[in-house]
Amino acid sequence: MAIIKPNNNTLSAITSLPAGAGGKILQVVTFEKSSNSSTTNTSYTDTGLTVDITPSSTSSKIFVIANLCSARTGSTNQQACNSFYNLVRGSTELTATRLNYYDAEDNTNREVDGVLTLTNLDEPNTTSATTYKCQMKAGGANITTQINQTTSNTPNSSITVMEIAG
Amino acid sequence: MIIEAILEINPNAVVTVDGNDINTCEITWHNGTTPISKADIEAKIAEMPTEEEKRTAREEERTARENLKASAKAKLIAGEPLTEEEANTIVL
Repeated sequence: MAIIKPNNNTLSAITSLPAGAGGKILQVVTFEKSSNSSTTNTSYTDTGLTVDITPSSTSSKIFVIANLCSARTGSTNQQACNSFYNLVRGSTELTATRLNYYDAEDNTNREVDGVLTLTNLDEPNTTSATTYKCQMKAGGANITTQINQTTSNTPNSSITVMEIAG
Repeated sequence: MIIEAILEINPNAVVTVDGNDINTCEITWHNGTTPISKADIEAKIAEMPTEEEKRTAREEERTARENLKASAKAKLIAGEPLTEEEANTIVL
């Protein structure tokens, strides 16, 4: 009987993939949210977009994509509005972005909507369940920060994580 | 709409709202903000303009401002006096 020994190793001696064999997507987890989340808090607050993944190997990478629909910053009395959105693993911030609006005119209601996408290629170095989530905060007093703001269309914000073989 | 109603009642409220429905949404009050009852918020929502009405109002506001600017420009060219409202549109 022929015995195949990759690179002349016994199977039990192989502890990692050979060079060039990584990069395959091992699992995908996604979560969608269509209801509105809004805050006036100037400290980061959960948007409700949360997903858990348990990596199969410590060498795996986790690619995170968060799509925030109808993200809005607005105010009735601040000429400059800005809102911040971030992506965190546990309590570790991976990336962040800002939605900004400046109104040179003397409007009474100031607001701007947009679609924001946050991505990150994370290396959590764990095989424990890991939580990724999106948060948001107002850039100052009297500023409202939202996702899924509109009710006339159906917004669908989402967060997706993919485990990629290391 | 829920958070807008809360801010109509208390413009300085520091609050987070999760959900579209006043009966089922989760409201978290921050920084010692005094909670407002859902009944009061619901009553305020009923008084407030809809998104469509707000959009229309913003359009009307913008059109009125553009008309004032146009009027101010025409009067300046013609050497006519401006109203204070017209002057406000061109004073930096």
